[in-house]
Amino acid sequence: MVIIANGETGVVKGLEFFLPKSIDDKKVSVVEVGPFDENAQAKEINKFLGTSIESLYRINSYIMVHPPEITNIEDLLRGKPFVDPIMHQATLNEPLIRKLGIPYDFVFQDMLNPGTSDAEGDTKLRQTLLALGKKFEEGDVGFRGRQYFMKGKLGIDESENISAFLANPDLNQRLVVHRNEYERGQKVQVPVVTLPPKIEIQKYDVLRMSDDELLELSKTRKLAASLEEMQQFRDMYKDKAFIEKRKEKGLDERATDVELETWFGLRSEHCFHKEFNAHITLEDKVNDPIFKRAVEKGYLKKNDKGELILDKGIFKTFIQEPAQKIYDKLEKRGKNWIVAPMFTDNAGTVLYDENYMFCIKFETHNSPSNKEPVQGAKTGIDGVNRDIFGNMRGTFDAIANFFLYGTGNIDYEGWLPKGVKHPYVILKGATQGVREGGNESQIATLGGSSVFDPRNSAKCKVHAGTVGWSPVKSPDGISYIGKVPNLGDLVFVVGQPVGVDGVHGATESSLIADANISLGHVQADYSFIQAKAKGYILEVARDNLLSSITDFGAMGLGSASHEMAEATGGLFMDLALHPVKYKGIQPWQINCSETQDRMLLVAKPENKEELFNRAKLHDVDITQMGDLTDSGYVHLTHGEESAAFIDIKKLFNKEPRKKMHATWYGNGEKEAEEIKGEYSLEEALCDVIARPDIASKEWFFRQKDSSVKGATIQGPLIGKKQEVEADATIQKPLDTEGKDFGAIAYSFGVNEKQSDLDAYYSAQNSFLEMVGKVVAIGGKLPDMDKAKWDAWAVCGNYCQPNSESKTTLTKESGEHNLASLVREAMGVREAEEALNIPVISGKDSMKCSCRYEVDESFKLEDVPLDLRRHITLVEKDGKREIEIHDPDSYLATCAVKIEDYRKCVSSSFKQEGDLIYVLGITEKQLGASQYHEAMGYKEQGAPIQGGEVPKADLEEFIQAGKAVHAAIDNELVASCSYLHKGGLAVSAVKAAMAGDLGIDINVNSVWSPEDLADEELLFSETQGRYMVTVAKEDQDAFERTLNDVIYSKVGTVTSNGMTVLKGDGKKESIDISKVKESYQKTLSFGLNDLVKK
Amino acid sequence: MVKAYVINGLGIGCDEEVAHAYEKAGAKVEMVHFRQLLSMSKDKLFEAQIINLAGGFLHGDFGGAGMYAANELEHSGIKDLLIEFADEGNVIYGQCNGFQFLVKTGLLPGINSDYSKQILTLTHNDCGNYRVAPVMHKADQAHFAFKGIDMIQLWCRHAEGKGQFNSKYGSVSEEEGEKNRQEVNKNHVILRYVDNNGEPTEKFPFSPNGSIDGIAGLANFNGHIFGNMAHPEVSIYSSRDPDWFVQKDRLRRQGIKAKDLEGEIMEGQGLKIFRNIVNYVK
Repeated sequence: MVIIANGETGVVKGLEFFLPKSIDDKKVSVVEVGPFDENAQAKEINKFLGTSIESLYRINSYIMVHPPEITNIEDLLRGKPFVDPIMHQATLNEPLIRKLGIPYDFVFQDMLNPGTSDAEGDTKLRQTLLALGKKFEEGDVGFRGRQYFMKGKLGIDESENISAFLANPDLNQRLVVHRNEYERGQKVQVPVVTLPPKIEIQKYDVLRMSDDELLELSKTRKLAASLEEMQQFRDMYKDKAFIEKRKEKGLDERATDVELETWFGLRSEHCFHKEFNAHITLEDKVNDPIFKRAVEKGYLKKNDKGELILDKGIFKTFIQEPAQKIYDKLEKRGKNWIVAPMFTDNAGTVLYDENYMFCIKFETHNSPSNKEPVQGAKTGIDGVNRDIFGNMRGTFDAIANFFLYGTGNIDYEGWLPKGVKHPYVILKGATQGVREGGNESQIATLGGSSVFDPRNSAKCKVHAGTVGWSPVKSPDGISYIGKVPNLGDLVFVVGQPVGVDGVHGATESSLIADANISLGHVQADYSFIQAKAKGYILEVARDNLLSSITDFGAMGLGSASHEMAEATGGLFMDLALHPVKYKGIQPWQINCSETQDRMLLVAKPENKEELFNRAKLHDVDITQMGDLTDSGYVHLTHGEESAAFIDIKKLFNKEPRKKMHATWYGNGEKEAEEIKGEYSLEEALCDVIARPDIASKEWFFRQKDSSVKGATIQGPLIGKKQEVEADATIQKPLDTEGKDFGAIAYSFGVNEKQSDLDAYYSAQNSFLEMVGKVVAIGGKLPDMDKAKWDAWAVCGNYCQPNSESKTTLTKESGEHNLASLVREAMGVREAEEALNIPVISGKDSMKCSCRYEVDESFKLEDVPLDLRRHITLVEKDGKREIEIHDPDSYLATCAVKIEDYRKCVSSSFKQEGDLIYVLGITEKQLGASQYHEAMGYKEQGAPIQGGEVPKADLEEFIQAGKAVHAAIDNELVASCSYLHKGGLAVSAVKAAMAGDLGIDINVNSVWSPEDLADEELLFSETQGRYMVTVAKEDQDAFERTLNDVIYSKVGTVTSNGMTVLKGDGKKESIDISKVKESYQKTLSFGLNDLVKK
Repeated sequence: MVKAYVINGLGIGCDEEVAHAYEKAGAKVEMVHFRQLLSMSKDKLFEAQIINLAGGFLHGDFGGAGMYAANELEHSGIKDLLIEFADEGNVIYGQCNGFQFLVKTGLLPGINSDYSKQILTLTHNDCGNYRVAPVMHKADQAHFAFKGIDMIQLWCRHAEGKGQFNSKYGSVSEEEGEKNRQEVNKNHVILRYVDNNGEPTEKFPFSPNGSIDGIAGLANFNGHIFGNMAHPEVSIYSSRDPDWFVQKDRLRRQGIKAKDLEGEIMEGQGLKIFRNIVNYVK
């Protein structure tokens, strides 16, 4: 590679970097390092894109802009910080490829888009300066470029596809050149950001704007605001007294761009949860019994027109009220473990005991992950970790991470909307993002899964969750609970300088996916920068130097600081003080950018010096931005010039609430489609267990640290060879080691496909599945008679298809989606109250739909059936549009206090001869089951539709849960599984695989209220059932603890193989090794290819 | 009382559990930030007998695991003091990222007490991925840390753990690499990955990374500087074993109930390593 910097010409060709003309006091040096073997990646690309790459090697190019007096970089080329001498070589300002003699035909080059955080390039430059004994100076900047040298033949499209595979077009600039061209030389400008240096606060005369002009303003500035909202904003400037106050600050009756962007960013769907707070009018077309009950219970009110009214909104009625009710009950009971106030801080917090507390939060990062899965998922997990670090006063450490992806089927072949990434790419990318985020932050990954539905191809789901841990008070007795910002406290920012990346994230996630969403809400982040900041924050927070803290999420500084200002009733900040990545960033961008890895600290002025001293040691950047006031206003300046003056009360006033209309046309339960063929149980079981929802997730967990922090007792994989997924995990916080035998158990539940039948049950079943999995490992339902530290911290995440009928393609679908959401929320509330387990944290993601214009060439019949079923095509006025709604999804996750982990049991079979029991009733509930999906795909390429959705009797659920706990507590249980996806057959065979044992089972003994077919008994997904194995000598004692719970003794644990006595009296032998192969193959991603070698 | 400096900061992540392990083994622990270590006075350094570099992601592992931290060490002037520290009978121990760091600085293996350059690398796993797995190791019982330990199952969690002495495109010749390999195998290997028969192996999945000659841990000539890819700090309690629930169920059937599970019966094999270290420098 040659440099033609500032007119200098070189002799060697390749990629030639030059600086923008405006930079004349710096020099560029390019160090190339490599080669990195990328042949494994090439294999993947060939498989996925059908290309024929023969070989692929990567060389990294570090482009460093530095003072001209540095001339001795050459000295560093044989070692640190560039080269591992065993593996690599380096060159300065010349193409490394020549020295290596690697054959190639094409070169793929990529570099992050200008302005995107490039910590790798930056760190390399800083380490180089360090090695040369030089200091970093203003304007010095480092970039990392990558060049892939590929051997093989390529078509035009192929080169673009490979390039996009190697480097996401949304995040990178890319170049593909043929060898001949490369050798002649290609000119590339160094991507130093040179924004126009002029800082200007734009003013808008909103008072004099017509309605059309207001809407135009909303559109051009991407505010995602309705006319009503724009008018509400404008009307503020009619207030004479307000204008007088503005004039004192040097502003007038015109709104500034900072005000506009801050106001609408903070009041976006993302930050304001408008739909969860909306007033809903619901029309029930079928006189549905669940809605009838909702009226009886007072959740909904009937008006004179017969419409049902949800006056207080979903959040207050179905989330806040039940949690408050349980809070009150626990308060009465004693040892109330819920930390109040609920729903105000970053996470839901409960007490572990008098001395410790833990908290939970799950984030949903669908929109950015749909565009850029790696960074989307990574910013998701880093963001939710930051939520935990920003909970209360900053004393929480993150101890466990979780993930859940929802994508289309990874073997899907067929039509996808333009610009949408294949599910395989999304899944691999999201996995990489979560792995990097979790591992680099050194947090144990203790649970997760991936669910698959063709609809998720249109908009994927990426959930990332974190559990935090903190002492309740400092060693000298000062409480860590709550935030305590004081008047006069100083406001600081910790973390990266700000760039223009991530501007408009909050408003864009409030839009439905279409081909035009800009890159704005995709950002790059670096977990280790955050990990450094975390170390610092934990230390200063636990030493009581902070009054308050909050994280930067959507809307960046604006959101973090202005919410903080609510506490004292005022804020002053000078935006010009915030460190910037490059000059020319406008004040509104500083306030609204979502540049990652930042936190906002609030501290008393006397703690400032100590905060700065410790920041230096931890290599953390800290900047004082302003202070908390009681002026009633957020006052922002940029240097001397006022940039914004906003009334805080108005800013956070949620009125007028959104008004929405819902219609219920009935649930989707109907006679199930017929299964035509006849299959052996072995074939059916192999097909069912190969369904991606339940197939082994070993590949996911093998790459995620599960034992870091040294506290994991049950990790996400069980068995000697760690090949089977555990339904729940257990962690023993090190702080309590030696003090007690308590622990925390984790699990989750999600059943999105059931929402096609009835969202009430799909959400409720997610909640029950989560509870059942924890009970099966040794957890206990809260005991309302005895005061105990038996905390449940539960988080509920809604991913809802577009339920705003104004923007759905057909009015009916939007209104149905909203009615469905009300049912979901009600299903959860009823389960919460019955079980006394409150949901104390959560997140809603409301636009899980996509709507696209298609041209003539699109034919519905060309789309594979499984996706086609869910596409609505509307042709109107010569315009053809399609819409796909994701299924309603409710993810329930929990962190639960375990009293004595030594009594916990795993799900693997333990010993030959143990008896196998099923607790609970098995019903013909196979609607949306894995069995229906497997048989449907086998016969018609799409799941069997219809059938009955699993419905639990909540009283029976509680009885069974109590009985299981009593048996485990009395140490009578060898293994226990909660039966969920795939039913008894799948749980039994997983327990056998994990224990390296076999099963002998008699289908006829499975208790059922009506005569069912073998497959129905084996694969039904009725909730509230457990499979328990018990040593023969414990049989009597075990059965005595079951009281009134219906149970059946269905078989015994054998040494190997699986035998099933069927309804017709015949025995069928099932080869477990075959089943295992099916279990492992679907999502193996070549995991064990090396074993075969 | 034995004092251990457990180094933290800059992306090191396993410092807390390592500190817990030393405390459980009877040492007094002081947490020291990596930057503090680089500028530490000799007096302060020699107050401790153990310096521990735990696992994690120093500088996010940009530029290769341990590379930048090694760069910082090289230009700090503390390296010679660390060598002196170890020569005087004190211990420097690195796990995972800490081990990678020691190798990249040249502090390991230190053939003929030459610590000036890196002579092997720990590079990307053959399986192409970060891998988490319990792995069986065979230990060199002659090394003080592994006294009384023959076979030990430890958690491995890394993406770059494959020991290698030269490669096609590196600047170390095949002859030189081979010479180093023999020397290291002869005098510096303290842990190896083994197969079901207890034989050293490069084969997956017994070896999580394909490391040459099954090399899983190294020590300098007197053993005072040593490190390994695995995380023994996890295994100080038996409840962290992958088949603990199976073991526990077996005990239950023998009449040993949950309440009896405390004290020695709950100790894991990893604790022995930390006890051995503490006892050695006592």
